[in-house]
Amino acid sequence: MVSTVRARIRAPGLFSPPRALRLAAALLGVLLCAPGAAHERAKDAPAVLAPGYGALAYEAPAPGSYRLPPLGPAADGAVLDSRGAARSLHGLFEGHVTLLAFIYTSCNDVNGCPLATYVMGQMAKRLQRDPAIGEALRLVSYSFDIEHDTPAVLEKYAQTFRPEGARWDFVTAPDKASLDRTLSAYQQSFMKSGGHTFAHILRVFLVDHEQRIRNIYSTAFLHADTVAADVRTLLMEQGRLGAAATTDVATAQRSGRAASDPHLGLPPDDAMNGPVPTPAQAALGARLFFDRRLSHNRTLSCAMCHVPGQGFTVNELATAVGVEGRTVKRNAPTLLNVAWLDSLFHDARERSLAHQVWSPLLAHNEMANPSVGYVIDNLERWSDYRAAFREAFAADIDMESIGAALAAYQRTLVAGGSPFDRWHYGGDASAVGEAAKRGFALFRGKAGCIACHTMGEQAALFTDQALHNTGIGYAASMAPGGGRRNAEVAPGTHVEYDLAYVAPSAERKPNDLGRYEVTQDPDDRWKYRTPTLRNVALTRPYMHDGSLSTLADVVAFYNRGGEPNELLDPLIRPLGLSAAEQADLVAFLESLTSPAVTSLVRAARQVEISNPD
Amino acid sequence: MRSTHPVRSRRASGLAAACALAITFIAQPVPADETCMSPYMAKIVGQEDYVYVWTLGIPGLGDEQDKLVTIDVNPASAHYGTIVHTLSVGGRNEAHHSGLTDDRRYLWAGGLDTSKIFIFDIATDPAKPRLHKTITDFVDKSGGVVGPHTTYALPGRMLVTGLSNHENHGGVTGMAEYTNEGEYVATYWMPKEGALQGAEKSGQFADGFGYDVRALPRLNAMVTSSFTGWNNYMMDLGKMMADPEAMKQFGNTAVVWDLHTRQPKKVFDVPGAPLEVRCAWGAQSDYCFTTTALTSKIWLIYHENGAWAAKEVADIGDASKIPLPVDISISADDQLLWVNTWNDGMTRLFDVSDPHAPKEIYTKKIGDQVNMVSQSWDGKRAYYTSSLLGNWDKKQGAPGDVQYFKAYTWNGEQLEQKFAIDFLAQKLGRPHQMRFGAHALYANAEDDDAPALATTD
Repeated sequence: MVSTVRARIRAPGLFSPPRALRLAAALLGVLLCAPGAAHERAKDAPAVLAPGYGALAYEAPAPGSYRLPPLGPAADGAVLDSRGAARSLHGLFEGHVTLLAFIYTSCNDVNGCPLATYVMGQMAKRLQRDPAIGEALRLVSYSFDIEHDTPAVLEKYAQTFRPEGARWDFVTAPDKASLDRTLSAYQQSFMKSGGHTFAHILRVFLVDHEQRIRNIYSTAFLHADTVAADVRTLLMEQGRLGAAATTDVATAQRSGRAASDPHLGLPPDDAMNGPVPTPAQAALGARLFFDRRLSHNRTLSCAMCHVPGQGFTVNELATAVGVEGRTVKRNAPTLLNVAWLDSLFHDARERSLAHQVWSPLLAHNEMANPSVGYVIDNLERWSDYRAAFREAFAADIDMESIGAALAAYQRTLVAGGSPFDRWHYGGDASAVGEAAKRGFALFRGKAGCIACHTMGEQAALFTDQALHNTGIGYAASMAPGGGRRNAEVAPGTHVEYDLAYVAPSAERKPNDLGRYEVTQDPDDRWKYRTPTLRNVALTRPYMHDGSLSTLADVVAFYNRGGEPNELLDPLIRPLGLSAAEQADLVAFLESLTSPAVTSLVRAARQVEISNPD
Repeated sequence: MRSTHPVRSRRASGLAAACALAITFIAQPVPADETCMSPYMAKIVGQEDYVYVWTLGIPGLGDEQDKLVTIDVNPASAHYGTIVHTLSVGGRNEAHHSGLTDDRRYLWAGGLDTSKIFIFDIATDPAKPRLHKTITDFVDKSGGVVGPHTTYALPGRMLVTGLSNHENHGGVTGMAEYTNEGEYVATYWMPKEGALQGAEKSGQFADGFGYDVRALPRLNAMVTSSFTGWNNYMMDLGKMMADPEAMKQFGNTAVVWDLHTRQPKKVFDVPGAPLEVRCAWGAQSDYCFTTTALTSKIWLIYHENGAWAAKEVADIGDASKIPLPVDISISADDQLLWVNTWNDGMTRLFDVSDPHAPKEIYTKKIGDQVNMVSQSWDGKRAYYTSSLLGNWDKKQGAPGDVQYFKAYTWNGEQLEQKFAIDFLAQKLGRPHQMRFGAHALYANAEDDDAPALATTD
């Protein structure tokens, strides 16, 4: 980057008190070989010298302790060396690590080409001191001033800067066409700004022995110490300087406890809502389930609201968020053990998993696909879905097979065999603690939870699959608006604010009348389906609207008898539980967590997440 | 261009003498929106010709798509104060931030929702950007980073910070490095609990969240901040504020990295969603500022006695009124910091001559909401846009004050509005990030007829 242009456009970050400039000139002598006009321009030249001229202000990284990812191929190009011989860049690079700088000899910006030449000179000296690097590294200075920098001029320039015996080539292009090709390949755009001055962004390239660019240095970045560390890193990678330090990537995959039978305590497979899936069907369903392209703008898969690592729901949201951030008014239900449910959605509007999948796929505020055909067309286009459907279902991709495939995967999310199951159904008295046992007694006794969260002799889903009004929906619908609210703006830091401060940004909260929205029966207002309690410790937050954060909050809600309203389910009544009893109930609920979830999560993470390409 | 220039303009502006005096002793004053650019990049030091505004489409308005809007801001131009070009890119992507490559030939603009990155050629004709390339496989290539946010120039490369991930749309994320040609190079995950990658956890938190990045090459340092994941930045603001689970999903950390190796070194507690990072330019100024959106504070991340530290240094407005500090802009001489508070539409100027004790010295209401601020190199011009996020923006307000671009001059004492463009009336959308363009960056520099970049000496 040179004077006249510098006057208007500032090159990477350096500035110029005159005294420092004089110092720079004295240090380098570079202005001496610049054209006479240089002195005219010197007043504009930078005088805070680039870091490359001084001692490195920080410790250079330890070679081999980091990676230099390849930045793409280093292009070939015809060149003339300083003896006038025709060579090629790849010929110069061959078998070496190469430092390649684009310069022109009459450049008078101390932080431009002279910096590159200075640092190359430093490297040349190191090469001589350190034979291990000297053998492997080559320096190439490439002039893009083909008119002025003839081989003879380059040779003279080389003699000024090149230490005796250094492997440092000074080259230029044989003609304008090769020059343009090479500069374009290295993205070295420059402007000729009169005479023999050019404005360009200084870039020096580190090229590895396979002729790949491994680093690019600019004015603020070029320093012999860091270049040397990078060169050594590349040599270590090649095994030429001892092995590179192995990077310890801690996967920190927790190993789950030895899983008991995940079916213990669950109904038999033939009681599932639909056929038991074959491995091919389940695998296809899993691919679909984790395919983020399956929403209208290709951002949401099923798994974005049923996150395996978050209990196959979302722990980080009360209610779900759909395409383009659209509001979903209810909490995403867990899919664990959904195979045995025949009452789906919080309002029980679907009966079959294979049918259910189309609701989120098509809902405007969920995955927002414009039509069934749009989904099918996409799947037919993407990778080998068509073959996978044939293999799994002997069917084309259609509305039915898509539903069947997604249902098949969901039916594999079997998570029983919890400590409670091993105790209650398996007879292992040591599987749960005393608090959980006391909690279970309350569950089916004084607290009466079992009336809705039902159990069988051999198995339990902990749901009657029926709908009840607990008052929580009623309270949300009928609560007065406005007023003040509390928000936790950072861990432990709460702010109480007037709702008016966010009202202009807030949409009107969607109302939710529960089962009534399906049946239009006024008696069904604010009725919601009883959820399973299996793995409930993993599926916070709770209730159809995610409005309760913890299991203790839920127990407390029922203990006070829910929210009174004229349609309150008669089973909901104040329970009179002590604090200790409530804690015991929570202990019981926590004993319902299946160790199989860990392996389901691990298996889910093996499924490739498909994204747009 | 002389080193004295910023000093002179500052004096002419009549700021406090103490301020000017301080500047005189700073060895290395450098550019201002130029003040938020990568230090690797060429900068416009005179009058900019264009402001490129990355604009989010609105359902039901105009062509509903995201677009790059080019506004002529050169008072010497016949088209001054008007939109000279718009370029729609297809779909709504949650257009957000944009950044120039180091050679300033391309503008990279990210979409936080679709994770697409649109690369505009602004060199061929700075008045008519053209879409050069669209990166559609950012998530796939990066191994799961979602929501490309900051596109930051490194030599020959772009570093792209993410906000989220494809596993759960939460805040755990990483940064992806690309070549200037748009080829993927590498991914760097943010350090988090259980995967600190050798970084020191200096406080309570190591959340792995991301947002902005800035580099201090002199110190071989890179500083990142932390916002929130897709779930939160995409959803309705009112719904989110009422959701205690969602409110727990904001970043509470800043990270100092080794710039050269891209390895995280130290994780700092900066609670309450630290957003924009702006590092000082002076040769002796070893610090960066960030502001926390939710706790409404200015934080200083500074290098002292050989070590990095972080501390809060000032309040921004009244946190209980949810001011939501958003964009910040540091002056070329490191003396002043503009801080916008989005919710009350205020721009606030802080004297940061003592970076450990910023003082608010000027405020002005810009509109019903204000997000971005970009100032010229000499600090004499400041541009403002309104939009924060599609579903956080105000849904109502005074005509012209909800979604706008506004151009001001700053005379050292007050902002004076020169012109404004109502992006709703023009059926354009929600204006967000601004970047400057100038013919002289690409034209023959000897051409003194070039309108844009006269030196101010």
